[in-house]
Amino acid sequence: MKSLLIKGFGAIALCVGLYACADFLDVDVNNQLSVDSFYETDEDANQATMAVYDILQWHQNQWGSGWSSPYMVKTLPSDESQAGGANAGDQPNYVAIDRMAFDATNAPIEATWAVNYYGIYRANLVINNVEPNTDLKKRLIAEAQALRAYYYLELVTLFGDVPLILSELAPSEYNQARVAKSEVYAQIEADATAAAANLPNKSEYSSADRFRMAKGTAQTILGKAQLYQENWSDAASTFNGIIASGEYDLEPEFKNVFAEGGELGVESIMEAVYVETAGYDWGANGYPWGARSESNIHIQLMGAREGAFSGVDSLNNGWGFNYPSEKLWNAFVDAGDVVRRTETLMSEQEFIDGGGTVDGEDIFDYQGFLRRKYGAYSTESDDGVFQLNYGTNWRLIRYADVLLMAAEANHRAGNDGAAQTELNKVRTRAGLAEVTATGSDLLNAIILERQLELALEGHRYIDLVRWGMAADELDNFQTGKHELLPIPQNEILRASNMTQNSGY
Amino acid sequence: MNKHSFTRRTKHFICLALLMTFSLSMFAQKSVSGKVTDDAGQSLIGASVMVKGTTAGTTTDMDGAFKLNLPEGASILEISYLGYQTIEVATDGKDFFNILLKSDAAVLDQVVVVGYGRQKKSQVTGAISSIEVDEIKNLSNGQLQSSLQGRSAGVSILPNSGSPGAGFKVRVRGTGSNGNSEPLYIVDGMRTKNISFLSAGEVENIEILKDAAAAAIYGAEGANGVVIITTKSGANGESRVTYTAQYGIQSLNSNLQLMDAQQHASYMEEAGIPGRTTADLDGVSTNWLDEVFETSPLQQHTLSFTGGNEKTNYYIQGSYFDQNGIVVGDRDKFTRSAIRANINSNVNSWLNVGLRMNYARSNRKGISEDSEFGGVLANTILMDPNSPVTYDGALPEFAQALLDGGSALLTDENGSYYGMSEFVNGEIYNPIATQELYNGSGNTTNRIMGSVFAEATLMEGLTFTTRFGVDNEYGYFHNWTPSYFFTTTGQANSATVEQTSWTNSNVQWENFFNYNKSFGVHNLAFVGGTSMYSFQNNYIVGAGTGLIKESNIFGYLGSVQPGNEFTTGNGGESMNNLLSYFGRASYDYDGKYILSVVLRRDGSSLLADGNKWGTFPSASLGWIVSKENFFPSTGAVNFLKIRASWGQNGSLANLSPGAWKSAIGFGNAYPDGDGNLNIAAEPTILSNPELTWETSEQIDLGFDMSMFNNKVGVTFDYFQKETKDLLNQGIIPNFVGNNAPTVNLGDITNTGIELELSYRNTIGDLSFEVAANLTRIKNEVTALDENLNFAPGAGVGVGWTATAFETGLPAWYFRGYQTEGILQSEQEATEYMNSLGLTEGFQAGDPRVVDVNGDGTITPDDQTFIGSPHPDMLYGLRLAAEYKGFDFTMFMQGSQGNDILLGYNRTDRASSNKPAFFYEDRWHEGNPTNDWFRANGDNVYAYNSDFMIFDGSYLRIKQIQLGYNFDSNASGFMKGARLFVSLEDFFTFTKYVGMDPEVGSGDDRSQGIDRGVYPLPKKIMFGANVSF
Repeated sequence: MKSLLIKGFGAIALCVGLYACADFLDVDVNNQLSVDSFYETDEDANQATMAVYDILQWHQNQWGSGWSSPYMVKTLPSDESQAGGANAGDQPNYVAIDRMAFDATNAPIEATWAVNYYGIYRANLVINNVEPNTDLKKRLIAEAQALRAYYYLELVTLFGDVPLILSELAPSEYNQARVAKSEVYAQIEADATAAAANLPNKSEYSSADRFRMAKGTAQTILGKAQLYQENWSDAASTFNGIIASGEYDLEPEFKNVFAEGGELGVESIMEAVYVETAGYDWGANGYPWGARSESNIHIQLMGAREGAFSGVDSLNNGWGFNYPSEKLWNAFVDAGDVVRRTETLMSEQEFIDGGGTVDGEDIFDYQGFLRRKYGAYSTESDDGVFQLNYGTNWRLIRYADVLLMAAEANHRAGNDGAAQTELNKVRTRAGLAEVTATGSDLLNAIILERQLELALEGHRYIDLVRWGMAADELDNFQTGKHELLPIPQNEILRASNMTQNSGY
Repeated sequence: MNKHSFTRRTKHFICLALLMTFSLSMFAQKSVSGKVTDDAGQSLIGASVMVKGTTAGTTTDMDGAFKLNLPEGASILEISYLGYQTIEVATDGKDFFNILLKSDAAVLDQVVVVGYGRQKKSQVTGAISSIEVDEIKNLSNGQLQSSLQGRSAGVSILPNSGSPGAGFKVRVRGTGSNGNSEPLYIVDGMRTKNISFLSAGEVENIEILKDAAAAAIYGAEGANGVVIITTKSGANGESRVTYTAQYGIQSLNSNLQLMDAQQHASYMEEAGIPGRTTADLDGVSTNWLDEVFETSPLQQHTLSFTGGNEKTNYYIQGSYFDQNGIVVGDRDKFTRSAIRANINSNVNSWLNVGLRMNYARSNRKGISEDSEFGGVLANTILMDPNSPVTYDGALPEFAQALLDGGSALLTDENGSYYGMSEFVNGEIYNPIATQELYNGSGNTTNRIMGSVFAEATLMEGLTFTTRFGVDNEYGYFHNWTPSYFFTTTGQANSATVEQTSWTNSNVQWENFFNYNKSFGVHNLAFVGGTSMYSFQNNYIVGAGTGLIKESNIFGYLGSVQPGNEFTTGNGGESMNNLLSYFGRASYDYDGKYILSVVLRRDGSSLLADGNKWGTFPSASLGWIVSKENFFPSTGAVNFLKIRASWGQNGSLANLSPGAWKSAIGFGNAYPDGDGNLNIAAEPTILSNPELTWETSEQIDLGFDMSMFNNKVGVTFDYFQKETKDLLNQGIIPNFVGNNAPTVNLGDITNTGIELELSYRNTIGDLSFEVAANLTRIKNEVTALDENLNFAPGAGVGVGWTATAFETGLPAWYFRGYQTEGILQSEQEATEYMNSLGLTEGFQAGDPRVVDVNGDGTITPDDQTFIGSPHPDMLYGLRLAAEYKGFDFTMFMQGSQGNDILLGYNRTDRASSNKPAFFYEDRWHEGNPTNDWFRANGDNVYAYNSDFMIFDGSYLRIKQIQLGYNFDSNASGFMKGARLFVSLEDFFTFTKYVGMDPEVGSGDDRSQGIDRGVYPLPKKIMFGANVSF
């Protein structure tokens, strides 16, 4: 009896042990999809690709470090605008960038670095995990390649040598080092070339899909990479090809480019898309301050400061950042460029004539000019709490830029005729006389044209640096330092193989 | 072995087995009685009288007397008492026994419950505190933890709030984590994290396992200590019905004084804050503290039945607890109705089975508290004293304009509009009107908790126990809020409603063997077994806006107006499992040298494959010095045991299912060209398959000593507990491209000493007892990611991260500006600013802020350690005395050296009211003080600085109770009766100027921040206890 009991209970105990070992500890986590069961279907691949695009929307406000927008980081170092805000203490990081007083701890610079790598991580997931076994998946992989090329191009132009990451890193691989710019450019060219081969023309996309990377988008990124590396003839041939494709054209009128109707229009090559229908409010459906919102909050940031200005036509008040500079105004005036001046900025007098009043005194960083390009138009946010629901897209690359890059590349490659042709397309639309100059006069005309046509779009600082003009044009610019932004301090602390750019 | 000897031995084994599981076996036949005295002729109260060979038994009463039903065949009584030699007395057919116990320090025969077994107290090598249930059974607390406060060294218990039904932060040997640091509770063998279903009346025994040796058998869950609770079992023989009732009145006990309307207006004028000037005052001056608090009743009733026969015994109890909080109205209320059935039965000679089952229905209604953003208590402090509670006549102009503009101003039950403020605004509004927002039934839980077990004796010394337990909680939350307008920030255009249902369903199955064997002077004990635990949770949440009518019967999702959307719908289901193997081996040599080794192996489904399993060892040694021949047998010391232990434990409490996993999130979107949002799917974080539990490693050195014929008891412990692998957000380079996962990085160390002292004596008819305990703990964060200066914690007001987790400092210390007095003149202010390269920002009367980082100016980086919520010392003191029929108890408890951060002020709402001392003690030209700053409402160097840190030390007299016991012999059918009256939490001695020095919070990172704490009420209680 005794041994029977022992055996019986022993058996029970054993059963418990065995049953338990089998699968007791393997429990599904609901409402969560693990990474290894994703990236399978067309829908998975599309949603994963959307995450790559989604990074384009990024501009966050993290408490403690303030606003961080890549658009602002690219724009503020230039001579086009002033940081603005309530005062120097409102967004000190933006002020530091504007005054060339930033260091490696500047949060918006760190965010710009991070955002591009976040985009690259998501692109890598698509490129490495999606099997190209359907036409859609092949295209989505190509879109991800084009986006990866775009993000690396942003990094290499702003930071120089950067870590080249083409797959997900394991924790043991977190101590990356920077690789030479040439290697990064080679990857950009490879990605853009591969993408262009598999992407459809823009005209083949439905209107809903026009936001996607098209063959022309990938080619433009390739051309930009070639231009920035001063491979003039390659760049010229790439840009000429895009122009010859007939997929793009200039908007008939300049003002249409930045109107709502111009979004994803004939002139659009690449945009960051926002909507005014997200319905954000100050309460329950709160604006996602630390994330990728569907609305463009920086349009609100850049509106004429509430309390300092009031009442003009269709412009809402905002928080007063990034006022256009007097230098930019003068450039338009000196060039006799009225059409684009009117659509880019206005003087205080024009503002008052339009029915506005200036209520504030000693308005911080205000040089007497208010913006119209990327202005806080009430028509851009007429669906709910206007401050939080601007639908204005960032025009990241547009056809006018391609034409001017084509002009520059052709000129540098020795084909001034072709350069004049492309330059004059842009000038003609602006109501300006055609340029007939050649040589360095032609180059100077192209440089001026880029300043006027692309003002406040985030190109000027990068252009000045690559033309070697930054020291002459930008206050406080230190040659040998400010050609590049600093590698964020935290990256160097967290990865000892990282090095800093010179001067920081 | 022949059959006869097996049978005889089996009986013996059953006895052992029954003892180990609390099971009782009854063979009631004959009633006997007796009296137990010590060698000095004093009655011994609470001595254990057991029928040897059974678990039948009783304890002696106030007079040392006992009555017992003697089962058939019972021949020997075994009488034991702490500090006395256990003796056996042959029954020999006698009816009355005069029993004399000799004190013997070497035999501390009280038995303590340890994990999966029991041990004689004298043989215990771990640090275990036992709570005497008699001490706490007459307290009026609705929550058991509250009764444990101050009762044992090393255990800190801080209520989250003084509101009815509020939870607690229980810390065994200090805060052991940056997150959840609650101990594990074991109720009758069933693990749980929440004991809110228990009332003190049903508890037999509470043991707190403090060191690693004691807790290691609970492995992955024992890192923060283990509280073992055993509920009552049936007493042998005679049936007994006991009814206990308590009724009491609660009221506010507060030092806080607020500015009156005149002071408030003067202060704001002086500060230059726009508002009503002293000249404009209209005579209204509301003391909101008086208006918000009321006296409220508390009552509880317990009815229990206990008894049994030779096969079976039972304990059945029903209880009811009802506490209305001291904030006006009945929107702060806690009720609990519970029933318990505990049954033990002998199936046959080798098997006994039992049941422990509790059902409790609790309901808690609460108002918003512990918040400076619209909390009722914060608004009591901050509301404009120049606003009336309600308007008697016409509304003031601004309120009338709002009403005319269609704003939903709230009225009281008489239709009078609630008072508003024209100048104090934002989230600050009439606290009495704020109450109107909390409608609906609140939080209701139905909880079934219990277990069934079977225990078999397999051979001599060997038992097998299987125990299956359930702990199911069915929860429901309901609240609806009418449309209202207080301020532009505090308003809702339409009513909102929320209904949430959840189920926590936990199942536990444990199987284990106990084996005890002695070979001469060698004694061995083994425990070994397995445990399976499964936790399941599901929930469904719905919220909607716009009700058909704003009244209680329409305050449900079913009455959301057609056309309005449900603003929230959510639901989920999760599960996690824990599988454990455990063993303990104990050896002692002649009761002198004791060695105990514990090993537990746990596997958790919360962790990734390859990292699911962990092993938790411990070892402990005991040396009973007083048993040595060299030890003087006639000295003052009767008993001395020296203990040492080392061990490791884990904590799973901060892990959630899938926390290590890189899961795809679908929460982001990107618009297409037509403006439609497309789902963007991506891994929300990087994965960390290495993620594992927090592990605490503890050493303990201690001794237990009794002296002077065991009248004095001393227990001392020194411990060092280091918790490693705290869960923190990882810090990685951004070029990796996604958010870092949670990683195991961070250590926290608690070092301390514990001292427990007791003295008891009897002089004539007076017997008395004094017990004291004292704890000193140093809490320090000892490691963190080197790339992280500090982890930010709780915010206070707008833009101030007021607590932080940083190496070298206590967990979640207070972080702010350090000051050195007050700038006494404009010249001083100018010189100060010049020294910092500033041109503005300071004036006379402002704090002189210290440039902590020495960078030549004042920036947020100058914020530093300004205080700690952790006490340096905790203590408790209990005095009890009995004289003839009277008994008296006084119990006090205190905390020394902890700081409180006064956190309800809002620098962005500068015009809000403040405590009166802000006005009375302020710096002004006539009062050139360095102790308080000038009138101002928004200077961060004053409000986000050490000026807001106050000494939170206090001594509280938790209970003064006087009782009278009626002579049971004189009252016929009654077996006993006691009447008593108590003052509870009545006297508090503290320098803190707030409503209550016990400033807790539900948020682990926000301990010690007074955001308008709900104060613990003082109580006058009356009670009666009758047995039949």
